[in-house]
Amino acid sequence: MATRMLKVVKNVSDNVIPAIDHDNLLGLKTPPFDRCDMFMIAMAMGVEKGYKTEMYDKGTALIRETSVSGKNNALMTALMIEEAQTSNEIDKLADKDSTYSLAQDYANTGFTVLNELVERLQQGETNEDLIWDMISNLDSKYEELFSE
Amino acid sequence: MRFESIKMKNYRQYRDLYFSFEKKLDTDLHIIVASNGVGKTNILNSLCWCLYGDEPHLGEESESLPICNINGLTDAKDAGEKECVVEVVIEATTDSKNYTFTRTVPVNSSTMFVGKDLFKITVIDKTTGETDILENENADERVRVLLPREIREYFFFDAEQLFNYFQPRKDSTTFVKDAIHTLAQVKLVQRVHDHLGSVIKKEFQTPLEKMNPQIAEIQAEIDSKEELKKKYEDDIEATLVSIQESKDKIEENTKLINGAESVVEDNKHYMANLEELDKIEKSRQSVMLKFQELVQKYIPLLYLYKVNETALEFINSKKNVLRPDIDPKLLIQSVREHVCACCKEPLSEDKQAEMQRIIDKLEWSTDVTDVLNSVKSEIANSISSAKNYKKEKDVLMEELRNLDDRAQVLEAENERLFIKIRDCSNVDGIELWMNERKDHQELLEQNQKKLGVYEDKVTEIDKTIESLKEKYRKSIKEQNDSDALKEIIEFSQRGLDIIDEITEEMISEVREQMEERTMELFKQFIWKDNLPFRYSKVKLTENYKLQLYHAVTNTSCMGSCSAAERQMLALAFTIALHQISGYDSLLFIDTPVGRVSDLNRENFAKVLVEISQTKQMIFTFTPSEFSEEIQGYFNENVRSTYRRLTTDYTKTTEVN
Repeated sequence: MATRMLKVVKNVSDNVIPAIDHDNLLGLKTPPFDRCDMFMIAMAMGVEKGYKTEMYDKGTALIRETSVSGKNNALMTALMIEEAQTSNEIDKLADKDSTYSLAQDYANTGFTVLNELVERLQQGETNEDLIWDMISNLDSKYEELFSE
Repeated sequence: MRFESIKMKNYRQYRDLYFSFEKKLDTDLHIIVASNGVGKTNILNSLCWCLYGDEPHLGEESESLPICNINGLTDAKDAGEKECVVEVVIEATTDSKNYTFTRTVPVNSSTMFVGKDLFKITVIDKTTGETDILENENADERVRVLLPREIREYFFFDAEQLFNYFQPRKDSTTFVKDAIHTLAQVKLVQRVHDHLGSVIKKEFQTPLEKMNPQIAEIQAEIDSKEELKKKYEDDIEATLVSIQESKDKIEENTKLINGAESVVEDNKHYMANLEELDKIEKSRQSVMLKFQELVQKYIPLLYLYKVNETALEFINSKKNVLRPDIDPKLLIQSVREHVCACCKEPLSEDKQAEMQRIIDKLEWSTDVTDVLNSVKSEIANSISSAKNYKKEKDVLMEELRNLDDRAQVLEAENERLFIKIRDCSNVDGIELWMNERKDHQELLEQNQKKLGVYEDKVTEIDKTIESLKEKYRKSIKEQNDSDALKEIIEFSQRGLDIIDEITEEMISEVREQMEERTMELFKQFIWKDNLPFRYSKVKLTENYKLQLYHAVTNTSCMGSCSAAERQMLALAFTIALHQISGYDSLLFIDTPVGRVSDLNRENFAKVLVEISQTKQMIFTFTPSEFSEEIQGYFNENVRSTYRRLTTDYTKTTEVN
């Protein structure tokens, strides 16, 4: 049986991810942070953006299913639960391909956000500048979620 | 004595050179001008070589060359001559005699081996015409009488080096001490003292000691104590030299440091702050890494919080629907077969109905429930972890704030420190001088203690010697059978004591005369009519150090004198020495105004012209030193001769 893989579109694998690696955007290249963690960040950014972007090509394999940690698997499943509820297709939860596909679509959106951050680095901003930007966003998110 | 002429043949760069110093005016002033490298200082060397057989002012270049002129050697070799002869002849006169000093040395034209030099003085009595020829040791002896080597530096010298003559030297002799002792004819008196002493010992004391061995023992003890005293006196002199060196160094370094001691501490503080700032920067980078990790961790946790929350809510709402820990297939089989698939017991109708109800409730497949069950705890963890964001972030912010605050404090401090140290371009130098000064202060303290110990020892030994001498005198008195001998010895001893007293008086008298006359001349050299004179007196200390006293504070202020003032003081001492010594000889000065500032040159020049009315003076200048101003002072109305030395491309020096 073929190993299930998390995929990204060709542009992301050929251009965006190498650029992220080159500039070590937000330390995403530094171990113990791995490709799966990067994928999850992209997926989370896609969810925060509010829309998914369907893979427009058959995609390039990025992460093996066996490399996906329980924590990351749970995040993708949680996303699928929300989707399945909305579409009233709970049985789809058992379909890992659907879960992966959904994750990939949101990650696709997220990688464009990451790409924008890389461009900012290339235009002269520092990693520290971007970190403070992200902190500011996280502060707002935290406020939104937990303010009384 | 005055020099009439100097002739040099094959001496260094001088192939064949003749200077006449004919006195044509009331003033006996003679000027030689030559650029550096032409041979000005070698004229001075030629005088010393002729009279004393050495060349104390040789430069590095000359030291590496043979004494014989290179062209002379070449010409001799080409002409088939085995040797080239170097010759310097000085024609001089006193009131009663004409002297011709001639020194020659042959140099092998092939090997450049320098042979034995010959020194001859021809003396012609002006009145009788009698001629006397003195050679080698006899000639040297006559020079000792006319121009003693011990004080030659006060007759022929490089003015820029003059003040070095007044510095104490490690071999514990000083030029000044030699000068004073020579003037006071101390050596002559010392010889009388020693001679009398040895006569007393040989002809009177020894016979007496043979009569009474105890007397011999006492004398032996006295001799031993005198020897020990001499050793301590030598140690005292060496210690005084060292003390003076330390004092001079401390003074010199204090001037160099010039109140900038704090700069060293400030600089250390500044550097330490820079180091700490560097560490803070590294810590800051480390904190930023932690912020980066914070971002990596909480982007998924916070952005997916709602998703997780919804998912967990859904999972929790379906907990009754989730498959229990039994296989639904077993339930279906049990109902179909009416037998429990696990325990194989027949199932009652109620139990079958119960099982059917459970089967009906299991709406989903096993896979879905597996999935939901597997992610439930992870989702719950994610939700719980998300809430820690603020706490973790605040800790890091606090850490960062502390680092930034500390950095701000250090930067402000360094800004202040930088202003204090920026004007000092030589912090390392100051630190070195301070350390050097500290070492010398410690050494000075040690030496002063040592000096005290030595002086106490000398005092103690003096007392011992005195008491031994008393014992000796008593022993002699008690010697019954030698009254005449005793009387002679006693009388002679008194004579020796008187000679010692006279020596001290002579030295003291000469010292006072020198101090007074030096001060008078010094005042003439530097005093300006419209300014109060800053100095009150000159003193020669016990160890022959020249000291200048301030008119107001009455303390020694040599350290605060300028280089020019020190040079002029040295010159004043030199002229005083000439006048008091009776060695009425010429003064030959190489670069006399080298360090004299513009303000003092006029005074200086006027005094020299005045002195040249009674003393022959020969000066050498470089063209830049013999400026229009100086030419004005030493113009054709006051100078008897003027020579300009030039060279051609072969470096042979000629006169025009």
